[in-house]
Amino acid sequence: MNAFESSIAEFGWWAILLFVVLATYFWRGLGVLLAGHVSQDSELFKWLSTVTYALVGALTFKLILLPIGALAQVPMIYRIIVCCVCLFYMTKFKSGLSRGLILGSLLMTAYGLFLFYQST
Amino acid sequence: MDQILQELKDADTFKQAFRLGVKAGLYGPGPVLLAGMIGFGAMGHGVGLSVLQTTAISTFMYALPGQIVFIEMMSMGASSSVVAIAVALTSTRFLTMVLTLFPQIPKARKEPSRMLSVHLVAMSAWAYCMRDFPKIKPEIRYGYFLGIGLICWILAIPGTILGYVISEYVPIWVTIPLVFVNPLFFLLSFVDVVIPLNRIAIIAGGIAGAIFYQIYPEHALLISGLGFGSLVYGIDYFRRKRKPSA
Repeated sequence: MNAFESSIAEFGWWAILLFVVLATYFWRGLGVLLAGHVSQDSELFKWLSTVTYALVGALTFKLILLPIGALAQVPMIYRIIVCCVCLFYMTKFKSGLSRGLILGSLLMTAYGLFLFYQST
Repeated sequence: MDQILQELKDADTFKQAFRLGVKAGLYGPGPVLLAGMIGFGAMGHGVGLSVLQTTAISTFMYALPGQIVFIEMMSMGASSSVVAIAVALTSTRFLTMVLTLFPQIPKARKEPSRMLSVHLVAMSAWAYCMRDFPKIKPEIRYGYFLGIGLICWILAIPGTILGYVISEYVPIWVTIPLVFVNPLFFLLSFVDVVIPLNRIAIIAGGIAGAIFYQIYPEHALLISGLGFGSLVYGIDYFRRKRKPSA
């Protein structure tokens, strides 16, 4: 435990929240200060966006493949099939994101209903 | 939506633009954002946070990917400094978003503080303003942005509470689609990523994440994001450097 972590341990969960809130605001505030002064074609921007996409990619795959809680009751193969169907639907029919979301939610509700009636 | 845009072209005061922004927010990004926040509320309940904690995250962070990184990593038992780094990295996209959006709004002598209003910059308001700004008068753009941004931010609060509360009482077939909304939203939004480098980063990070979560759950996100993201960038950088000389 370093100095940062021991001070966090003292103030608990809310101190960590405060810290991540500031970390999130930092980029927004920095944007206001730098607006009109920096080029977005710089190498730093390229690197930042690659890292961000890799992070969000990892988060998304994790949430779908290794979920905790209610979603873990849906078999992995069904989760993957739902994702593929929605991606296919969106790209093939050029439909908006919200329609893909509705389709996915309906497919998940269907499996949930199956689980629900199987258990009763 | 087209009707709002038509009215926007005729609008010339801050107030009119603000009102139209609120309207556009309710019809456009509002429902998707609300669904995402309801899903986040359900997730907060799922990892054992209190309703106050979950709502505070949505209100003050107001960045869904970062919010989910935060509660996921906390529930995995990651140390606070690792959580802070991962959240900070997830939010770097705001810098690019603000840098592309704000220069399109001319500065007025008396205007609501940009240091405050920048909190409203999120995927929802950003995408709509980027699309509509070129079509509307520069002087009323700030009002339009504030309208969309504010209504979306306000929706995030009841959305989170609703998601948390209903997941406590509803059967499993309601909870499952609720917690699935956000991962599916992220996945489907990747379809619109056009830069090949970023597409490769998503896939590399995704595969690395799926593997490392099973080995080092508390550091998986940092390894995949910072590690593999930088690796993809590095390979691309050296490829670009070599090309002109070849």
